Amino acid sequence: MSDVAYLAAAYAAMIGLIGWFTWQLLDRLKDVQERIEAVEESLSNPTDSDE
Amino acid sequence: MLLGLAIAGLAMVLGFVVAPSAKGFDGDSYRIIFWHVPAAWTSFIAFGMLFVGSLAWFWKRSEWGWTLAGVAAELSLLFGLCVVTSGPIWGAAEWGVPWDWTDARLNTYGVLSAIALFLVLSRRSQPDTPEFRDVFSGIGLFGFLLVPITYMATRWWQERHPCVTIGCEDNGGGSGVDSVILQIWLLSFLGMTILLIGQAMVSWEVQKCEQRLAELQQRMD
Repeated sequence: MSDVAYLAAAYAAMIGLIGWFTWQLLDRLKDVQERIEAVEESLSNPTDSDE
Repeated sequence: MLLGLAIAGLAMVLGFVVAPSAKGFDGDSYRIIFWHVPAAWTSFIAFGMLFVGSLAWFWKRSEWGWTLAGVAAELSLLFGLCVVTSGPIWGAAEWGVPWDWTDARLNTYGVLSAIALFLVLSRRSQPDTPEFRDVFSGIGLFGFLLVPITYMATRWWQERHPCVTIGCEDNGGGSGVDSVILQIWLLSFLGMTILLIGQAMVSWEVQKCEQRLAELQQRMD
């Protein structure tokens, strides 16, 4: 492989890692915020959650 | 985060089109340093945050210390993985082998990244108890000890990894690199540091939300 191919592979790996980490971080934030909203809603309306 | 990525991206482009060839290296493969080295420096900042958070938990039983340790473990893993994936690719190009098991710098950094991986996986899989927090923080404190050892490894036991170039005694205590390369390097480090701060802020929010969710679920139970 040429130097440029090695460089492209290395930079692609780092960009992929940073992109994946950032995406999963934002996804986790969205998910946990939705779950908090759902739990808070069920706590404020206990009769609805019993049904 | 976007600002940090943009600056680091700009540094990468400048590293390809502006930076001259480096002495002592054949071809263009050395240009990996414009992200590889700043990622390593940024990971040391993240391990420093892990040390502070772990110490705050051990010493003061501080909740913010525990949150900081969790944030820092994830960021240490991210930047550590960037280093241990890009390094072997460069090694394959420059040395002909991706990893040299006799090189202290490679092995200590590998252990450091493995510690970050262990901390992240254990934090996600184990129940949040004071005992677990103690073990986690103890490993976090131990892990930080490897940072100065890793930094000094090329001076104490240099095998294959290139020598320290900033403040190297062989260079009269200054920088042994071309000034253009050094400026692009520092620009990239600035970008990675801004990226780290942005990710730390989002990760902090995630950790606080997860703690709040656990409290709410306890109330429901």
